[in-house]
Amino acid sequence: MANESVTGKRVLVVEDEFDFADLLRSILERAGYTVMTAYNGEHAYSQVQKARPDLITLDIQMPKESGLFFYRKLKADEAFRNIPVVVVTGLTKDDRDWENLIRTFMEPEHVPHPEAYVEKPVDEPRFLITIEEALSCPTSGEC
Amino acid sequence: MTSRIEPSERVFPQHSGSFPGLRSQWRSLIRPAIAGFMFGYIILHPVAMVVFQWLDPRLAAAAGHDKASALWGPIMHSFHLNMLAMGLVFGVIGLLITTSSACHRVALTWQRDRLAEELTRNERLRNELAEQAEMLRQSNEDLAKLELATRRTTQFMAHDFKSALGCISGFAGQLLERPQLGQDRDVASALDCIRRQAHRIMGSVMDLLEFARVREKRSPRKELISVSELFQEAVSDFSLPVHSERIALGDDHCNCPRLLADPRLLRRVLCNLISNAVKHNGPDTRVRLDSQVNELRTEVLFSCCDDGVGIPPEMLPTIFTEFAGTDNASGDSTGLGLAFCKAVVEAHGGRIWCESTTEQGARFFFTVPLHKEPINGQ
Repeated sequence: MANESVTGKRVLVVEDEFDFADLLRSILERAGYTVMTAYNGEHAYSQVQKARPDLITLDIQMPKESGLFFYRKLKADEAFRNIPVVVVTGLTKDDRDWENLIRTFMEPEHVPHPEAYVEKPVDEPRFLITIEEALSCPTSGEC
Repeated sequence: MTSRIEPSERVFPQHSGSFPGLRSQWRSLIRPAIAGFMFGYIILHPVAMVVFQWLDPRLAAAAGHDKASALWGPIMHSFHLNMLAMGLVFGVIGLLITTSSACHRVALTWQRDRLAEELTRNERLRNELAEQAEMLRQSNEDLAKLELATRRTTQFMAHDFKSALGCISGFAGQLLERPQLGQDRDVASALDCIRRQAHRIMGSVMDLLEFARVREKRSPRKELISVSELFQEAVSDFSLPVHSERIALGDDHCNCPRLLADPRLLRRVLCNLISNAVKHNGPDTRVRLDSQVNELRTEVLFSCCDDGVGIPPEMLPTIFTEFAGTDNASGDSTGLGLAFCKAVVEAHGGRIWCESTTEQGARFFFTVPLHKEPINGQ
């Protein structure tokens, strides 16, 4: 099951739902990734500072500090700007709330969009392909 | 708060009497009538005599007052008894003139009063209308707030559902892949059922969300999609109550060009049609999906046919109505599935309908128009 090309790659799962975080951890670990978890934006940022991950999966709607605040902070930091981010959210991409969030958080400050958006519930094979693609060809880096 | 306006009052305003002026004010006409008569008899008649004398020398001769002046003679003569009839005629003329003038004045007064009454009534109606408009505006605002709150609640719930159901189906899927559990047929069947049901509920939640979105008249997010891929994704959807082996694909769909449509919405439409066929006819039902381009190459016709019991003719006109099928015995329906399909197809500019013969299965058809202009060079 584990893919050798991803062995050792570290993924930070930022998700406030413990069970869902466990599911993502389980999926990623079975695929060969090393997984860290954080349950809110603040916690996630301290995790990133402690050990720089190769990729972050990020939920948007979280208590304390929302995923987008964390994302903006991450992209503003020179040291972590290039970490690819895959947003995993319960929001549907066509929702008005989604558009409002993007408009409010991304566009005014020209923050680059995340590498990919994945809607919950995740389809395991597709999710893993998305993660691999984001790792191999991040928006902020060169393929 | 506001009085209700009867329709008859709106169309035919009621007034105090059809024409009350002359009937109620006839006394006011006596004075102008007498004045008119006197004016005719005393003024018009002598004046006429003066004029006649000047015009007709014979009249002057008849007057026979050589010594009198040309003015005073006819005036005096006009009051002579033998000129009484002529005097009366002028009196009546004067009477008619002043009376008709008075009648006209009375009619004008009546009309003025009527207009004033009408203006007062209009003013009252305008005020009532303004009050009602304000109430309506307030109601609309309340409704908008309520709708926003409902939408937020629904999305919040949907978000929670997605995470929870994602966990259920995800972990069930992972357990299914463990060899030691997968070998036990009962466990495997139970896990498969858990995963399928989780996806089914997910499908219902998505139906609710998408239905609300489509009903908000938001246009679908269209992209070029392959019909074959669309079919493949639909038949392999985990939420379907049957495995893909029970669903046959026709041959014509391979010849369909790419479509400009929202793939997720069309996939839900196909999944709903397949689910409906299986739900109402049992898991042994065979479902056949296909699509073909019409002769004019203006639209693609999708079909979903089953070999089940069919739909009674009396139900056909209402099957695409919201909650039309919620009283079915299985209780396994949100009542939104087909209404959702109709809303999605119509949002794409297409049509949807159903043909069915009892005991010979049901055939659902829907069309999606083909885009006319080539997009991105395709």
